[in-house]
Amino acid sequence: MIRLIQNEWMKLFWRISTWVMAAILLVGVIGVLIYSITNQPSAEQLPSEAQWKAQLEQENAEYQQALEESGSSAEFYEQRIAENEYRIQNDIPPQQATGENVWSFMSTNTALLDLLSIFVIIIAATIISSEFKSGTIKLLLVRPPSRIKILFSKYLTVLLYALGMLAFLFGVSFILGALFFGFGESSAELIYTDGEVEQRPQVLALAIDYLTGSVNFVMLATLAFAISAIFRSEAMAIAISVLLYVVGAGVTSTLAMAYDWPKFLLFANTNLNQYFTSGGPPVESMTLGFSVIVLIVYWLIFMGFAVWMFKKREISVTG
Amino acid sequence: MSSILEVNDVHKRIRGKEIIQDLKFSVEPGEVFGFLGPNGAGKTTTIRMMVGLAPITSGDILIDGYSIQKSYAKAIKQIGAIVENPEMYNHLTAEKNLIHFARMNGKVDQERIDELLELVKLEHVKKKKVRTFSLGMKQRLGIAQALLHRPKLLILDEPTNGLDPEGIRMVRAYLRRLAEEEGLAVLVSSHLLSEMELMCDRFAIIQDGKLISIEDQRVAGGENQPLPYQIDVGPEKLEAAVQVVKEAYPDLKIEEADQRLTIYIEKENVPALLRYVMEAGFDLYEAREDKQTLEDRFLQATSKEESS
Ligand SMILES: Nc1ncnc2c1ncn2[C@@H]1O[C@H](COP(=O)(O)OP(=O)(O)OP(=O)(O)O)[C@@H](O)[C@H]1O
Ligand SMILES: [Mg+2]
Repeated sequence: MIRLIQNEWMKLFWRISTWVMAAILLVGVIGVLIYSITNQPSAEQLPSEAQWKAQLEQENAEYQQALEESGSSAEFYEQRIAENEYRIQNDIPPQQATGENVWSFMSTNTALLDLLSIFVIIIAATIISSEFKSGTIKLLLVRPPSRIKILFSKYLTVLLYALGMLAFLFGVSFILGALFFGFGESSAELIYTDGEVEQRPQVLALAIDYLTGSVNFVMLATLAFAISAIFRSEAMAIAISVLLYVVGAGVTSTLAMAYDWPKFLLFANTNLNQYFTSGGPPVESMTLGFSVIVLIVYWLIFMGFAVWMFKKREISVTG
Repeated sequence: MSSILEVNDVHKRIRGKEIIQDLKFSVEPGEVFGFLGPNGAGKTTTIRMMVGLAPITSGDILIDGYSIQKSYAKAIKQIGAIVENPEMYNHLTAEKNLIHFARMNGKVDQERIDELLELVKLEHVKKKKVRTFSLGMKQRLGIAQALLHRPKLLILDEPTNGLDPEGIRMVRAYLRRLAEEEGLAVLVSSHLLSEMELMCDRFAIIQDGKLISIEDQRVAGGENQPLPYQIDVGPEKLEAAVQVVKEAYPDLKIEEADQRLTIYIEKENVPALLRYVMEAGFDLYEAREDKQTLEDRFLQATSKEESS
């Protein structure tokens, strides 16, 4: 099995597109860096404690007014007000008052997880179908390793690749962030649930962001992998997975406003971050345990289909 | 139990259509066995069943005594194969391709890889990407890949397809050498009779998924069979020549075709015939054995089937 993974890794490593993806990610991080530097207020521009407290109080007055006028989005304003009050009471300055540090920079870079997800989907979708396209699948399948082993070695390679890219994104963000912004004053993230405000160290919040983001793209990569194992069409695998990635969450949350059953949909559960942040899950009754189970069931369905089809299929490469 | 490959009453049906019927033959160690048939005869389909790429509808294929269906891993260990085209990873170098396939068989043996690169004369380009290779080079790399794990049976689907005469000659020489020196059993498919005659010890002819005959070229005595002989005496004199020859050989089949005279005659009687024709006053422009085209041979073979 290890040799098979070595093989897959070798094939991936020598593909130009693998490096193009890493390069694009690097460009993304540098873009964020340039943006952050140019928008960073200089030390004397940073508000003093009295200043930012006054500012938050003023904000709250505005929110209060908006709250009275608005009916439906009341929750949004309530949350803001509660968070601001918590900051004032506990002396936790908001982001604008502390300036950028390595953690805030890395937190901004979680936006690049979207890009990374799409790359992982592409790799997952092509790792099998490219063998069919080139005809090399025949050589791969007329050797002693069973088809299941070959399938899983490819799947594990996709996960390894995802892990590698994640480590790359994480590492580059960390190094550049530390270099340009230093470690600074570590601030805390606030979490608002049912009227209660809690604080969480920034580093922990960051770790949760990256972890839950990973769950999301691992599920989509699994879907793309399964589609490409079943239909052998990388175009279809990429199109379906990316489409779901882009619109899935939106459609699910819209449906979730009206019904209860969307909680069984994949996308109601891929964003585990919802259990750790202020938003909360789309359907009230959902819990972290529920989501994990739903995700495992989806994973089993995807992989089960992929294994079944890949084992059963007659391998014909004509043309 | 000495056969390396045994094909036992194999049937293959795809969507109700019989593609292979009642196929039965075996291949022994040290022989080059040809698998001859026109396009669509079912050669590739059969080979795909032999290597486990396609399921067998009924019957079985044994490799060194192991069923490819029931003990796949043991059976496939003995096989090295190229199915259809010699596809390799274009973005990897020749050497990396071989490392890749060596890993699929177990431990990588760098010495063996170097040895094979030398055998197929690719050691000077081993660091080059396969993308830059000619078809002949890819074909040779394919053979190296198939031999990596020292199989007992080498299966090649149309190994000379797309090669130039020099390439064909080289492949032929390799295969013969492997069979003779290393006792390898080689199965090659082709739709060219002439190629089979040059390369193989024995060959099976199949058509429409059925075995038509198995010819053994090592068996002597073929000389006593009448073979078609074509004689060119110039178009004007053809009629007269046919008359004269018919008089001298009343028992033999004589035809006119392509402005030549064709006579079915045993090889040992050819010199006498030619002398006779010249002494009868004809100019002899050309006289040669008519290498039958594959189609003729098939027609002959199929009509034999039907009449018996
Ligand atoms: N998947 C399939 N579905 C239906 N028919 C098929 C399939 N694969 C092969 N056939 C049919 O089986 C027959 C044999 O095909 P095969 O490719 O084995 O021929 P071949 O002898 O290798 O011919 P060629 O010389 O062209 O390579 C053909 O008539 C083909 O149409
Ligand atoms: Mg064929």
